[in-house]
Amino acid sequence: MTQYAFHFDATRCTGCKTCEFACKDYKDLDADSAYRKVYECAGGETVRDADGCIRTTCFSYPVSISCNHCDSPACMQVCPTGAMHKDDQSGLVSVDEGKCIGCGYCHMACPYNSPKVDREKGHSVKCDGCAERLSAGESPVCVEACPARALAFGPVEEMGKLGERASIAPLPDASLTYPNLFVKACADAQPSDSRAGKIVNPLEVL
Amino acid sequence: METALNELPLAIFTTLAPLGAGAFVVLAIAVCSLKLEAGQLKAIDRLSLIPAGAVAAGFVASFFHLASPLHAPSVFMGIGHSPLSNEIAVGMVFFVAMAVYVLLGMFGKLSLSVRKPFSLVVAVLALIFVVFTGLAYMMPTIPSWNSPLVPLEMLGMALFGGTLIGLFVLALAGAIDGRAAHMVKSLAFILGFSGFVAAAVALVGHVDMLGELWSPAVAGATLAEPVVPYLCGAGLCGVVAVACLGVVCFGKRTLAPAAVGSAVALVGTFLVRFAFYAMQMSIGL
Repeated sequence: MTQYAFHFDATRCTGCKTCEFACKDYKDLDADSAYRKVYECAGGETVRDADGCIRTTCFSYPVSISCNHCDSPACMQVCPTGAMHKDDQSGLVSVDEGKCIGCGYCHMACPYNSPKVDREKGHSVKCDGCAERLSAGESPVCVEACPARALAFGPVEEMGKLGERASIAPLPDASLTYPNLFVKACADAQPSDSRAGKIVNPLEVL
Repeated sequence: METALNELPLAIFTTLAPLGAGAFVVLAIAVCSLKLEAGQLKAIDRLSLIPAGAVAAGFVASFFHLASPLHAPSVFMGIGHSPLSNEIAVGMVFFVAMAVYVLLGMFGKLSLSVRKPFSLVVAVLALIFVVFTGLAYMMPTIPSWNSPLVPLEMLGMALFGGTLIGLFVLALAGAIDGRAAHMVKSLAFILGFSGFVAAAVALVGHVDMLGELWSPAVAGATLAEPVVPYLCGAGLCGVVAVACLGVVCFGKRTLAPAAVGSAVALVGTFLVRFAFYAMQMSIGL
């Protein structure tokens, strides 16, 4: 088995959201759905000190997130029907539409806000790593669309060489589900357990 | 509050099913300890359709939560690893036992020697189901729910509201009017009041716990603010229902206070459940 993984280079990402919209276009998603989302994490303050100097601790950085096809997926652990499953060959996590009851338990459990229940379709929907493109020898459409080449996709051994397993804010600590997302942190990036930053574009992503 | 509105069918399910189930505990106590006449037993059997109907209505409501209810038989595939599968499996065992018990009683097929142990089995299954319903919400990735206070809250509400519904059934059947029912009413009061205390303590602890939680998306304290009016309403309902429980168990009238207490307990429990779903907070995004 080859476990596939994403790499996100936070030093390159500009937060342009091309990845998000390429995915929406390719997967033909409506205005309310997105399998990949760009979270803007920001914090800090700007103050005038006793000498009259302006000092700032402000920071802001985008983080592009889809399903991380975790080694220990929270969605899969709680799924009552086994519809949420991990492919034996690629390690990609996807939904068996014929089994899913659309209970939303996967949505509740996932700390990456990935699966959602599409009531019209009658089942959970999420990023499947563009499995059909992968089998055709292509990268996921989000990776291919990124103008800054901030995203990469490949075997976990290769992606692991490009960065650390995702543990920057606003993502939870990687030890929770062992996401197959490896991040090259930017200078502003805060650790997962930091309370310095918060998501400042909640209406776009939550 | 949007989360809570989305989970409305679950709020209805977790109100009706546990309270209906809880009623069978008091009914079991009554059946096992009272010397009931044939007419009273017949009436209790017929009126047991009230809590049984509440349980059934709760299960029906839960189906409205699903996007594909027709795939529901697949839920048993997750038994052992999915808390939801475990809850549904235990719920089904309780439901079948309850339905058989009620139907056999209604058709006069329950002898006293069978009725007593059977009623106790149904009562125990009811409590297990209630606990599993609470356990289904304990997930490490949702810190605002991941506490033993959640199943305790559920068990407390089921015992409290269930006791009132059970007493309502017994009062309607004319089974708790005489002096002979004093012990049953005392036991019911202890059970119901313990449930109220457990639910109140668990709820206060749960809301207090929220204050310490934080995620980049939302702070726990921010999450708690909008639910305060619902919890105040639930607290008021709880106080009124406790008063009703006291009147039923130690006063001269039983039917009216049991009816009012049951209705108020149902409303209070629903408010708590509605608030509960609004308190969902992921550990991450």
